Amino acid sequence: MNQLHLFEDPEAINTKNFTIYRASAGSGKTFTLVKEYLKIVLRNPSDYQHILAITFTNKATEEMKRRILEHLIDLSAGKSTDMRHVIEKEVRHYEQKLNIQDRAKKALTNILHNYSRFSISTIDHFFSQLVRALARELKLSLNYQIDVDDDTAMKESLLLLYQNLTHDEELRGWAKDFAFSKIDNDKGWQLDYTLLEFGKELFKEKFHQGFSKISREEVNIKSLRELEQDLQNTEREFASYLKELAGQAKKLIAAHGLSKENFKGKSNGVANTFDKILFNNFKLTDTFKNVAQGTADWYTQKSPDIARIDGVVKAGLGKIALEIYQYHAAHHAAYVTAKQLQRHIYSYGLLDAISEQLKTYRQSNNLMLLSHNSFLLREIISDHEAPFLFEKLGSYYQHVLIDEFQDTSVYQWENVKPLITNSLDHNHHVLLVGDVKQSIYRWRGGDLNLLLNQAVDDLSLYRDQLQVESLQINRRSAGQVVAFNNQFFTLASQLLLATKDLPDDSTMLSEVYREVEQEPGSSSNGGVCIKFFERNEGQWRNEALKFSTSVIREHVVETGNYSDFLVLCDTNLEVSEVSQHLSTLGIPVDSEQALSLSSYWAVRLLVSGMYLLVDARDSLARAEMACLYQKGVQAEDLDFNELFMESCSVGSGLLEKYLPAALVEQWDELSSRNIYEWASQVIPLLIESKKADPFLTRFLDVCLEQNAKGKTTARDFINWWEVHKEQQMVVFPSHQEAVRVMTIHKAKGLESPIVLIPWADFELKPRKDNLFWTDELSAQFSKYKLLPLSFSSELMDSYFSSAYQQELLEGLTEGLNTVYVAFTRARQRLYVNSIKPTRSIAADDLAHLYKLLWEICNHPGWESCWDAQSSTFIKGDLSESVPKTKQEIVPTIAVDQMRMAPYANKVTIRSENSKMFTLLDNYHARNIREGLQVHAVLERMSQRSDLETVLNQLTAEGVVKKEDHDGVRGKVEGLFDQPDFSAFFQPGWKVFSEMDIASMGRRYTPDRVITNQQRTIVVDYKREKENPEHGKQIKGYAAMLEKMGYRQVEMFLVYVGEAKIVQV
Amino acid sequence: MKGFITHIVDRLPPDDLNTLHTRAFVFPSRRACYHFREALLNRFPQETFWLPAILSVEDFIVRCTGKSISNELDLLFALYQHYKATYPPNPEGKVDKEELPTFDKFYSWGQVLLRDFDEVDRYLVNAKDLYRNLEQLRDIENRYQDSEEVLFALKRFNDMMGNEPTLLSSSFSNQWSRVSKTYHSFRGALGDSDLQYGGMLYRQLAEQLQDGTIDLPFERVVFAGFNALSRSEEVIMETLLKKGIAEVYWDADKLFLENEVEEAGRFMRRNRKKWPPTDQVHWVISDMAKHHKKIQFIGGVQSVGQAQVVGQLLQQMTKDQLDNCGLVLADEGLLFPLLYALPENINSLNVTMGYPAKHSHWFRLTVAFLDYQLNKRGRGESTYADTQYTRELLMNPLIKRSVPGSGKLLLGLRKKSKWVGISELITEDSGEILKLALTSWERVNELIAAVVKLLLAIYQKLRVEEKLELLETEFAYHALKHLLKLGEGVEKYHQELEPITLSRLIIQALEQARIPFSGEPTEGLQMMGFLETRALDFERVIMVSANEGQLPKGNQHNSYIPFAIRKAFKLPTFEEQDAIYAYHFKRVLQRASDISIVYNTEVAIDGSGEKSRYLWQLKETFPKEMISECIYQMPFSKSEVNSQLEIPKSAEILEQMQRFLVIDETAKSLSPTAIRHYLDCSLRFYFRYIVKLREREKETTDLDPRDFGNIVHQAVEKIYQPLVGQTVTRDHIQDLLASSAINDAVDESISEHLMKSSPSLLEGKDILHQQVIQKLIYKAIAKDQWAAPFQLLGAEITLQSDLRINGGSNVRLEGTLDRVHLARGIVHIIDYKTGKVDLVYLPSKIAAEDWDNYVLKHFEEPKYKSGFQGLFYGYLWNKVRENAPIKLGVYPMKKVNEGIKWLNKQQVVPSAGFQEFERQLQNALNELFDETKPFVQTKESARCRFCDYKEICQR
Ligand code: SF4
Repeated sequence: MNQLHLFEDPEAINTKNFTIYRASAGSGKTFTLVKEYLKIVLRNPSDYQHILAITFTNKATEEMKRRILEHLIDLSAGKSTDMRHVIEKEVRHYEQKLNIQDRAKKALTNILHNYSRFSISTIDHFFSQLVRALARELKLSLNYQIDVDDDTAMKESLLLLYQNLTHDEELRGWAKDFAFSKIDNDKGWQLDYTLLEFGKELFKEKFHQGFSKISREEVNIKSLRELEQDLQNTEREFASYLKELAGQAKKLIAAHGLSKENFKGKSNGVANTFDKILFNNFKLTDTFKNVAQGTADWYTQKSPDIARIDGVVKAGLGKIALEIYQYHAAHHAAYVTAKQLQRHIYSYGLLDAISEQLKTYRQSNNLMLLSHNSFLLREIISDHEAPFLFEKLGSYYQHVLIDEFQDTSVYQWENVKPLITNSLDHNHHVLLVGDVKQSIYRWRGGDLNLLLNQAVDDLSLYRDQLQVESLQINRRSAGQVVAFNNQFFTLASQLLLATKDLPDDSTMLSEVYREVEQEPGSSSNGGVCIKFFERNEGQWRNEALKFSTSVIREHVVETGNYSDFLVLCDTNLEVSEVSQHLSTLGIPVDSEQALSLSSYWAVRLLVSGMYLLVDARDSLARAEMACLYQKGVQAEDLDFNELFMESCSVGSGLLEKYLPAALVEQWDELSSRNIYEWASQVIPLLIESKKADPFLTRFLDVCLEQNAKGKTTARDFINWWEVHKEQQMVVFPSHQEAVRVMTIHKAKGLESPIVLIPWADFELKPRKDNLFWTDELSAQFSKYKLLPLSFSSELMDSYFSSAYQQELLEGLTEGLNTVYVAFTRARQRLYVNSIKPTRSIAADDLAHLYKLLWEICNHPGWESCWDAQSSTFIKGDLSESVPKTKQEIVPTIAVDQMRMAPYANKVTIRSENSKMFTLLDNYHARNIREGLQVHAVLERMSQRSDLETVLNQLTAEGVVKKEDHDGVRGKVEGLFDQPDFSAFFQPGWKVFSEMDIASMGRRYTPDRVITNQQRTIVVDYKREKENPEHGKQIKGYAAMLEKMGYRQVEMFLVYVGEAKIVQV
Repeated sequence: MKGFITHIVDRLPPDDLNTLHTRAFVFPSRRACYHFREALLNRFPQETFWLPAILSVEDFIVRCTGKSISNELDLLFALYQHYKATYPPNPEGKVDKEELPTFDKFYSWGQVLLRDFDEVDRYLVNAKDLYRNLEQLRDIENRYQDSEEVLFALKRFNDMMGNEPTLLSSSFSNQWSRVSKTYHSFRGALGDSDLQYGGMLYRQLAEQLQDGTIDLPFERVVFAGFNALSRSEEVIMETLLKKGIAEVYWDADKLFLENEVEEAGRFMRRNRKKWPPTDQVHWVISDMAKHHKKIQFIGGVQSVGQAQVVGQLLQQMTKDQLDNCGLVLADEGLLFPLLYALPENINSLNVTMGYPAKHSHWFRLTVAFLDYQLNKRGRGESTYADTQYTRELLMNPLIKRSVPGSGKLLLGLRKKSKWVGISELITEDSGEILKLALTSWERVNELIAAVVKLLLAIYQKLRVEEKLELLETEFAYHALKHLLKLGEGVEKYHQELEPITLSRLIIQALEQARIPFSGEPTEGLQMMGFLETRALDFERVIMVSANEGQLPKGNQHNSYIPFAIRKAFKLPTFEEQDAIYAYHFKRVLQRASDISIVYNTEVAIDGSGEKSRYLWQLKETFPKEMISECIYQMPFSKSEVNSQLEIPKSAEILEQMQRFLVIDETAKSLSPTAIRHYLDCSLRFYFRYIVKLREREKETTDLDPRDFGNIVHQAVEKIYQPLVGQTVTRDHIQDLLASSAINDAVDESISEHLMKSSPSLLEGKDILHQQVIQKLIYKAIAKDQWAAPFQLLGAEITLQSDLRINGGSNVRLEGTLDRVHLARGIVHIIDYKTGKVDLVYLPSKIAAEDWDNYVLKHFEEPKYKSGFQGLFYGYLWNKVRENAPIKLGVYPMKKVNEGIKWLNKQQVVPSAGFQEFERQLQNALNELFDETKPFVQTKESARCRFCDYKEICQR
């Protein structure tokens, strides 16, 4: 506080404190963010504790923290760095007073020594913190676990739902109708998959927005059932009326001896309309519409049948056609709407019930799903809540910085808005950084509109404080790459505007790409190569991949660098295909597929072992184990047939002959270890080489994680493993040379000298049948707030046409954004493979990447880059050498071997299990227990009257059981009744009870010693039977006492069991 | 370098030995006490004398007050009664169940309250001032404002609470007044009972010392190795110092004592100001920055990776180094990985740690037992247990090991039935453990007694058989101790608990339970948690999990007292917590000369995994040359193994295969499925039909797809069987549809299949399945109207035929035809399919030679699978029954409205087609029996996707 605004600069206060940075790819976004952060703390080095910086990923958080600290270290060392220059330039106006070096030092120390207030986190993490702080207000249990496994949550919830079918009749009825409607539509009968997919909507914000507003009174299974009836009726009525008309028409035509062949367009012509209607195809062609309205003829002029046709038209066909046309015009939209809505109505009706079960699942497992946090907060955080949140967090944030703002969702925005308005109210800094062009997380709620307009609109009160800045220089990509991207995306965003069915007002697309042009900041040239292949029934994929491989090969021959490459794919499936292909060619690959645990033989071996633990009769597991083990030790000339035969004939357990003897010997004993310990002990028995193995190490980590969740058995593990094994990966060592292969979505934020996109042929539109929600509902449906639709062009004919158009626009924008992210990852070179179109391309049909690419590569102005012969587009220089990237290198050391050995003989622990007897309840145990208890009581007593107090104390401590009081009391009183014994407690003597004697460097503990200067008595209580050792022991005590100068030491042994006192 | 404890011991003059026993030496932890005693014994190896009392501060307080600290659970039970009272019952005498949490939900909330109360007392906070209404709290702004910072915080707090109440703030103030009431009534009640939490004793001792109303059982008290003192500790120390009967040893380093920015010295600097050196107050001050240290930051991958790093470090150490080495775990979860990674040169090791009970099967068994008990239905004799949970329970390794017959019982658990009668599970000779495990308990106190008995019985059994390892024994003991405590609490306070509440309570209590592993030897490698390092010194220090969130532990300060209020009342906040942790960290380094700090290089999903802040701090503090950094990695080498597998047809195998040859009546036949498997992958055929390696049985209680299919087939057979041989007319079918025949047949099939007495016992999804099957069959049969009239030749007919192969032997083929009828002179063979239908049609008009090609395709490509079966049946019929025009159809139930799909559209299959089929079949069989051709893996790895043997093949 004391240095608050010490160097306050009047100008600085007047500058705008609310900044939005639009930062295109490679424009040094992180640099800017770090710079802004530094400027705040340099102005006031204790302000770091009042800054909340929100990033999108954990990695980004880590990187931002690291960069801030590193810059502060450099600044405080007085180093001349880029950052320093930029900061000096920007804060010039108070440079006189500003001593950057000192302040950096101060800030650095402050942060390092009050690090918990260095608040940079992901939004998820920040929300988790908030939810935890508000747990009580949210009525959550306080010790819940955070979980990210939405899939499992959904599966479990569905199981619970199915269980409820037994008793809940309404639910059962609905589920039955659901299954029956599937059967009626030839969609199978199983609900699992549909519900599993649909249920995921529960985790989505878009859905939650509407769902939370629905009144359960108005919308429930009953009301949905009515709706379903209505929709069916609409559909049926429409169809049957038109079919009737079509039937009449056909009869009429036949009655006149004609067939559809006679009419215009022949078998696919106007008269075919009637057939189509009878086959449930209700789309009317334009020709038919014209003919029906009388604006065109039923025949071509050359037709020989004009007269006959005219006849039939007059005889009623004309009227029927007109009726069809008019009825269709009036009702078709309602029909399509009804049909489309029915697609999801049953799933929709179950969502509420699933959501209930999800709650049950969470509660009974004491879990919070990460995806749920923002919903919870949304319900309780209102506008003026910031001070309360700060109080709960114990942090008072003044400045707020948000990175990757284009991926923020509406709820997230609403939840942080109170903090932001609070900041702006107090004239503190707010910084939103993002790039609308890189918004590719729509599926999980990311809403680019926030960055585009809405945030500013929401904060219009603060418009005076706002400045919007763009970062124009691309420091990542080489000149030609930047130039290409400038041109490509400018063109693309224009061309795509012509896409069919886009809404009239599609400014979004152009707005997003308005500022796409960047200036290159790099000195090298670089180049772009786009190659088109003949589709050739899918053969092109092989050709294209071959080409990409050759690019890699050539480069590696020259430079030896595999890690210059980043290969980008559209889907995970493609990633695994590509990486498999590269691997088989011996090219080192860093991809999820190459790192997968479950394909590794030794992991399989262990998992098979676990199966055998679960069921000793599992002969398949037995065979797997033996076979994999034998393969592992490279047994030659092994008779595998015998191995397999035996694995079936052995009734249970291991196939001993084919496994190491040590394992066989210990198998049974090991079976009771928890799964982590089991694996740790089995691995060294199965895998003899002690080579450090990242896969097995990671597998053990996985076992450990499960164990820590209380899933300790093989069965637990396998149940979990079978569901989650695909996602289990080893960590790729950082120094290893390899080609990285990943999806475009994962590559966001990364860069690489050379980027390859082997199969650039994806659709830019949303996938057909993709589920989306609309809240544009006509009065008829308004109570539903939000209804689910499947993306399909048919929707153009429904009441939902504008929702469809909007979805198309948003999807298309995201599609182009994905391409943008992909193309802008390249520093030096970009290689794209695509398909050569076979037909000419319609201008309204470019929403397919290969078409778009083709169109643009053939665009006027780029002729010099185009080689029609090879269908290749090359811009720039593909041979320029790739500059080495300097990396900070922490030396790596190889782990030399796997150490994995049982520890039992090494560890000494003070076992408390002798106390186990206090818990047991048989005669023997009772005796021992009583002995222990009497002993404990006597130890504590200093006079007879203490007995009750001591008993109660020991009971509270859990040493003496309540029901044992009488017994113990009896024993103790019995002892005191003996004069000898009560003498040990006579008043006036000095007492040493349970005190230690040190003698010759060792410690001894006689139970009781009393002395009155002349006489000294030493007493030892014994639970056991009499034993000469006892005498020896007590004589030892006496000798020590004498050594300490005590006279006349008398020795007593008290056998508490028989209440017998023996003088030694 | 001389350690702190040695410093103290060295200062003891030998003359004091006679009076030592009148003194108490008080340390922050028990472990420090132990080391002190050892040091004392070593200092005077020749003497005999009474040892002083050597106590941890908590034991000291207990000893002085003569009271003991109650078990948390007892306190929670009592606390709940008082909390409950803040929810007054409505006029009908009922408490709003929605609002008042049940005890299990209260549990974690109660722990927070208890901790707050404890701190309030420990810090001698005026509770009357603190725990009152928020409105009344507002005047504290005037009363507690000793620093600007606090004033600021309080202002903010008051502004906030003064604002229009928001949803959050009103919910808070509501809760706050409950908490306040609870505190006062709870605290008042405790005064009169034996129950007490720690803070109460601290406050009592501090107050009594101040009043002079207590006599200590010691003549002198020496405090040593403290850092952050609570207010009551301060008072105690202060009073005793004033009286002249105390001595204090502080352990500090210039690094944090003199440097204001070091949070590690936050308390020490204050202590130093308050208690400057005198003859009673001793400051043992080191200066670590002055001494050369070797500090290494080492990155390792995740838990096991870090442990492996440590193993490698340890292996390089000498015995002497090991004896002076402290291995400090910031994350207790690394205990097992580290234990397993210990190299051979470690032969003695001492572990002082708490380890989570969750890692043990005893915990798992308790959970399984409770699940079993809570998921039953019915009562008394006819109580049924959920099969799944029964299985879970019986499969627990502890049960498996202690009950030899449990495997048999498991076998007997009928796979398909969701419920199993408990009376069937328990028999005369079940044995004690099984009886305890399986008997059904209803009442809460029975339940808890049962679980205790069960664990004890297993424990005893395994113990007698010496099948338990030491650690497991510890787990068992502590689990039992917890459960017994819980039982007592339940008995005392809560007999009205619901079983489910009890179960959650047990699980929560055990989940949090830590098993204290406490070793005693001071020799050998010392492994410990961070708190155990207090007052100890090691030459060589290895720390693991040096990541934010572990080191320091993240912001775990779970308190219901708001931040500003804590500040005002001088209660510790997370800032103090951080400072304490920083002190521990720096203190461990204080006298160490060789330090390895191992951290996890991987960021976890929850964001933890950032390197610890202390690494940055050290880098800033120590000269560059002292610090080195590296990352340990495992080379990314997959030890690949050969996944090729080929089984030559040995004499033995050939003999096996003889059984498919018609030698005598015992010949086994080959089904189309078998041949299909062979065509897809000959190795798969080998596994399935020669080795007879069966697929793994799935543990489902629902109908799985295969059951579903079987039931459909069986039901259709039942429906049509009575009409075989007759001409089925449309009327027949309409009668069928109108009658209950279809539903009855389905119900019967289901019953037979599930071995259930009645379909009304169906549960959950199976009810749905039942209705679905009825509907499907109804639809399918309704479709048959269009085919009627037809003469039904058979339903589920099994046909056999022999085919001659090379070498003159005959192979026996067999197929079961779902339905055959004759209409318009054509034999229709129809196959009902509930699964995926793979059928590739032929263009309707097709030349004879194209047939060959078409048939061949059925042998080569899996997507012709359904057609292959059809052709096979047709071929059999053609050969065995009659050479008639045949149509082959598949009825895909997944698309029942589309009706039957015909192989050759609506045309009959020409007999040339069957001839070609036979030829191909012969080829395939020749190959199958050709001894020179081994069984090999398919080249098309796509075929392996759903293969049962893909683990063997590593596909
Ligand atoms: S996994 Fe593949 S290769 Fe192996 S048996 Fe199955 S189908 Fe054949």
